[in-house]
Amino acid sequence: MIKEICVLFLCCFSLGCLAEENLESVMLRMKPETAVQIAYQETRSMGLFDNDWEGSGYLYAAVPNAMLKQQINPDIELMAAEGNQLSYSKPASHTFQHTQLDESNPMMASLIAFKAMLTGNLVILRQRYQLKFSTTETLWRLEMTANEPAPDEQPLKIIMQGLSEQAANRMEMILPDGDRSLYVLSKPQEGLAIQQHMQKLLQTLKSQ
Amino acid sequence: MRLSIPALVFFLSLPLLIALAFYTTKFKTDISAFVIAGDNAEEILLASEIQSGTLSRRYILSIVTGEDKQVSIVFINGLLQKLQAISGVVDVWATDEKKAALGALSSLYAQYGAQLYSLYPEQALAAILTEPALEKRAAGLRQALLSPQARLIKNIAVQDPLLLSLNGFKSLAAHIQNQQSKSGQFVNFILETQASGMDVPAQLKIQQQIKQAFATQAKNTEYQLEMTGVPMFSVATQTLIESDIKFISIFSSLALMLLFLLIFRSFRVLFWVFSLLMMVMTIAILVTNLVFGSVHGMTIAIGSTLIGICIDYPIHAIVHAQGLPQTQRIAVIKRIFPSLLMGAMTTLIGYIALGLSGYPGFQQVAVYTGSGILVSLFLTRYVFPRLMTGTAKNIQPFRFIIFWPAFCQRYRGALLSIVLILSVSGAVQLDRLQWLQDLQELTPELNHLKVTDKKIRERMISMEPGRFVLISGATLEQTLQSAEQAYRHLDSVKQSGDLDGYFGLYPWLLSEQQQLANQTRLLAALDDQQRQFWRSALQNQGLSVSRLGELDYTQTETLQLQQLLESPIAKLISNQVVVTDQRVLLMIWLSKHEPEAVIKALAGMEHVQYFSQRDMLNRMAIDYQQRAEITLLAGLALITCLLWLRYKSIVTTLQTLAPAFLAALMILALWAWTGEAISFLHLVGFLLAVAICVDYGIFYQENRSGHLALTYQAMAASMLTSALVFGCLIFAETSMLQTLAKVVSCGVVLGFLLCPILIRSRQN
Repeated sequence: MIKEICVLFLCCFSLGCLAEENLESVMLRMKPETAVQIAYQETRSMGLFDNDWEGSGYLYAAVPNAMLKQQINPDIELMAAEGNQLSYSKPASHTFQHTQLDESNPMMASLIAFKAMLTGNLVILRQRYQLKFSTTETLWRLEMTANEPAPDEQPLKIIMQGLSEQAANRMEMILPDGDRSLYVLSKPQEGLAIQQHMQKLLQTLKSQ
Repeated sequence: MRLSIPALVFFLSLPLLIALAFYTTKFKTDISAFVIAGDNAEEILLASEIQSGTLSRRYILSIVTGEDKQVSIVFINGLLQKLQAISGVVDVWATDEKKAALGALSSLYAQYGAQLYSLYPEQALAAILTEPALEKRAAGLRQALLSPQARLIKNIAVQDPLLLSLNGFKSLAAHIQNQQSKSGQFVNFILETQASGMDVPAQLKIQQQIKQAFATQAKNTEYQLEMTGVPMFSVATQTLIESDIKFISIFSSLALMLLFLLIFRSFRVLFWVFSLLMMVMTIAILVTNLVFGSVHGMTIAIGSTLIGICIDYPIHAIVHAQGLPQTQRIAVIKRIFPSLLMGAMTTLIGYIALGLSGYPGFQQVAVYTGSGILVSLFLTRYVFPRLMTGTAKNIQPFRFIIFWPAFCQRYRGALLSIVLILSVSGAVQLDRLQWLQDLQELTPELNHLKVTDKKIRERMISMEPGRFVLISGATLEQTLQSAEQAYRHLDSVKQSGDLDGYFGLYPWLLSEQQQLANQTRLLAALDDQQRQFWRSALQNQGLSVSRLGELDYTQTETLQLQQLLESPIAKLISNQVVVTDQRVLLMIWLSKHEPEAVIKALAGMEHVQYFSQRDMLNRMAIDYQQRAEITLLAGLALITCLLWLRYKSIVTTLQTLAPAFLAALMILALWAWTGEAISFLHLVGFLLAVAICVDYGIFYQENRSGHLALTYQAMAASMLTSALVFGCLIFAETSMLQTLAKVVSCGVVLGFLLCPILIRSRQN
């Protein structure tokens, strides 16, 4: 009897070990094998706006180093960071920009963090942020605080969370000036079709 | 051999004087100080800026990669770090770097929106302060706050809700946008150094370190580095001249020694003469340092041709005294000394004339050569006879020395006719003489640098280098007000299509007067109705009325230049403003333009002028040429008077001067016939040739020793040494030195050959 209880205990313990979330496993889950598409709802709380601003669209990510944000509502907007190239397009205001991602530019910090998270690049996140990972029974939570904030400014803070053993379903960015962006994320979709669609969007953006 | 006391003193003091010269003399290498000056206050200040100001201390570095490729930002940041770490480098930044400007927009300019929004405030306000315009502005603000630039816009908007401070930057933003859309195949940096661009040793070191930093950073890449800037040209010029001087000095010294041995067949003579020359040059350096506080490298370079003149005096002494016993040497040198003295005086007059011509550097050359000539004369008269301790030695004159004067004597009539025909035909050619119009043509060996310079500047924002509008005033406020008037005129030239664009201090700064006027007009126009329109527009766009609705533009302080110079903006504008106690200069850079249209638009404006650096240098060259012509002619007239006073006969005077004048005429005729454009360098060579040929005329005319063969032998030795010393310059890479070689060598040979034809000397 005792023997059976011990075996059962050991199995539960092992299963418990296997089941315990950690940062590496979360990032591994975030890392797409081909290309991934995540539908999002964005809410921005900005000090200079009377009300929260809402938008929605799709996020795409592909290894090793590509991210694309396709805003559908309220206006069409495309922003892509592929390698160290950054492209932006907003047809409504005839705005098109192609530049290089300058990691030393604080204005690009949030974008770089976003890209690193969506492509599961823990190395970059560890370089730039203090990482605090915590779990409960049902949730995991990763809190990132920028390492080198500008003088007289609060550091950029990013909080990512999700259900246990699942990809992130929520991401919140708290900017140094107090403005916030909250992303509610749907379950990621992967596949060849998504990869092809992402490539098509990237091509469209580069050609503008 | 027992040395006399004067000889002992001479040989003991020589090393001491050399050591004194070496340790106490301050040597300068600033090339522009040798050439550039100015006639008016603005030009003098600008010239000083070119020499040592910001304009001279900057490099433009261009990193190039293959077509359809981009220089990576990681590489750029890494290279910037390495370049910043170089000792002597003040700052480095990419020319399209916007960080500094964008940072300054929110930290500095946002609070001065009411002061700096426009050059034409009435028109600007009429366009901004209407209900539809304010609606549009609020919509634009909303879009900007939702864009990737939101953070920057927010910082500005909380201080300046109407974003007036960005108004003036619209056209600049268009330029920056244009630059961004250009190929990423090139990335350009500006690198500013501590040392002046003319400080060649410091700049050479920095250039080597720049190349090293690039080589390290660009390992395993296909990037290439190209550089330009004032320091590149000054280092290249000096390096070229230095290597030429080193080579020529060694080569001509060896050649001269061989020639001496050939003529005088004595190492001892060689030793005496060269010791004397070293003493001459050492004392010349010491005197020049005493008078000017320093000696310029170019003074020594040009003044070292002094050897060709100073060597004449000891040569004459040796030729006449060598064949005599020691006891008679002093007497014969004493006898020929008046001719040497007269020759030296006429040469001195020529150099004084050059010193008065206006070229800053030639004043120093005149003192250097003048003191050298006097010392050589003094040493030849009083010391040299005591150095000549050998036994009497008769050297047979060359056959030509006997043959040529006899030939000339025999066929004088025919030879005179030939000379006359050549002279007349030469004189007829003189109106074809061309002066060099563009100083750039003086240095064809620097053409590769000029090509690189042009290539690099074409990749940057399209300013025409070296052509700008120069504004000056007693105070900064005055200058800024004049500039604002100039901007309006330039805007009309732009509208007519004769000017692509210009870059003045606006939008970075306006005069206090204009800033206050802008604010007054804005506050007057921002009535309650406008404010209500704005609040409604904000509400319609969902923007915070409490944070953006209060249009408080009552801040009374105006933006000052000092604030800009203490901000990151300084590096963008510091090369456009020169502030001294007496004067302020402001440069408005111009893009592609029609110079005549710009000059016409600015005509009548006080203290505003269209300025072309190249034209300034060429105008200076023409000024100097004209002055040099006058002073040289005056010098020749003085020499004529001196000789007339001595000979008391105009015929004898003209006879004595004839070889020099006709040699000069033939040289000028040759230039006219070949179409060679002549510059101030030709005048320098011309002066040297004439000075030497006048000496030949005097020696041949007077023949004080009574032995014509000996006199002509001495002249031949003198001519050969001069022709050799100057002739060696033909091997120089610097075309300026080659010019000197051709002019002087041909001149002295001609003068030597003409003496027996033109002068009936006093035979013994």
